[in-house]
Amino acid sequence: MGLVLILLGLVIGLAIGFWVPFSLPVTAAKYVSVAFLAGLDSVLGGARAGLESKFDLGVFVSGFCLNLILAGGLTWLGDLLGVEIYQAALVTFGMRIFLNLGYIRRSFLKKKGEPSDLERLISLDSRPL
Amino acid sequence: MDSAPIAEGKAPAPEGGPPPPAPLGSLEKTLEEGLDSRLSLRQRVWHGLGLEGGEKGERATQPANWPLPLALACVILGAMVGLQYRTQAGDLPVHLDDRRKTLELVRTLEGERNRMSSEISELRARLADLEQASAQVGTVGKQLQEQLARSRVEAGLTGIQGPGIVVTLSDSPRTPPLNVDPYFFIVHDVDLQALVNELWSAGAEAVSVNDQRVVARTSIRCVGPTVLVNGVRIAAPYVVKGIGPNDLETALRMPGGFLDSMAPLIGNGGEVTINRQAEVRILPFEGSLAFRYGRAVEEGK
Repeated sequence: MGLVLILLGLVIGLAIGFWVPFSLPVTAAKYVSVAFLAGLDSVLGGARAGLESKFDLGVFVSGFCLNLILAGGLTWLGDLLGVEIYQAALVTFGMRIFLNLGYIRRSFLKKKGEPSDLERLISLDSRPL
Repeated sequence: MDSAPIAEGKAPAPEGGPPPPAPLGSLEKTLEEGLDSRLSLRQRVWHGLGLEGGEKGERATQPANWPLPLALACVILGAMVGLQYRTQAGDLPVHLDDRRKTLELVRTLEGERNRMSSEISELRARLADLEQASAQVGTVGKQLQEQLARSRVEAGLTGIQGPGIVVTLSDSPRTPPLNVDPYFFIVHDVDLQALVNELWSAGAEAVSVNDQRVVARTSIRCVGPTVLVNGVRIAAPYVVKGIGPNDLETALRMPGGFLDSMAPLIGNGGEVTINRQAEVRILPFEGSLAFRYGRAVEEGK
């Protein structure tokens, strides 16, 4: 259920992105892609925290919003100053995405026998993993 | 929920005299419950969505429905990807496969064009022979033939030679460094246009660019890294020939004129050479001059 919900959100978002009447200006494309990376990092971090029973709504929401804005804004600032700051965001978020993915993967693979984390994620079981 | 009226009742207390003294434990309880009732709306929403964190102040517990905010965040991310994809797709409509196909098409069409232009040359030669033959019939025919020959020279359909200049323009062999506009490292269509224009203006009688004769319907236009003249792709170095008076060279060297306008290119390593020659040969125009849309207006109408 939980995983389905997340994927459903992604699909709905994609549909919205494809169907909205306006489109991004080409100049904004770079900022959006860096911001997307930040958002992806936040979501993966949130999923990891959820799987580790440490999810906190406030932390997630504030981290998601601030990272989005900060990553896009820093890229923009870097363009203003002629310094390619977006590379810093790229490296940092890229690294964290892989780290979080690693944790998520490991939490799915953990124990045999008892219901797997994946099954519990799908059944929205809130017991600590 | 019973505690809510108590908490609200505390606010107007000052006008109603001092509140009845209560044991310390009960006061604490009242305060706590008052706090609870103030948070109750938010908590009720949170609870309804299953987003309520367990015990207050305890970070280790998590809401039951934690994938929900992740899903909402994914909606935003998905929208970003969708928008981004549309921007990128609009930006680069040409894929590699398309490009290969286009390239093949261009090659095929160019081969066809070359074949046809040699056919045109053959037909024109045959036409000249026929005209020659018909000229021998009588004086009228001879006059007509002379007139035709003159018209052909005027239209640029014959090779032509005479004193003139040869201008060579080369791109810079250097790679433009980063942060430097590569514009002034290569020769552009506008440079060729300006040069040809200047030659006509100085009194040139015939002009060619890389052996493409410049006639009334000639276009000079950039297409990617090459230039199209008469629809034929040519590339640097560009050799522009002009037949005309000695002024041709002077006109190009005029202060603020063509050569000066090429200073940025020359400064970047490009080359512009101007050679005056006693005998310059310029090839005939090989394209079609047929009119498919326009019709001649008869004189006097």
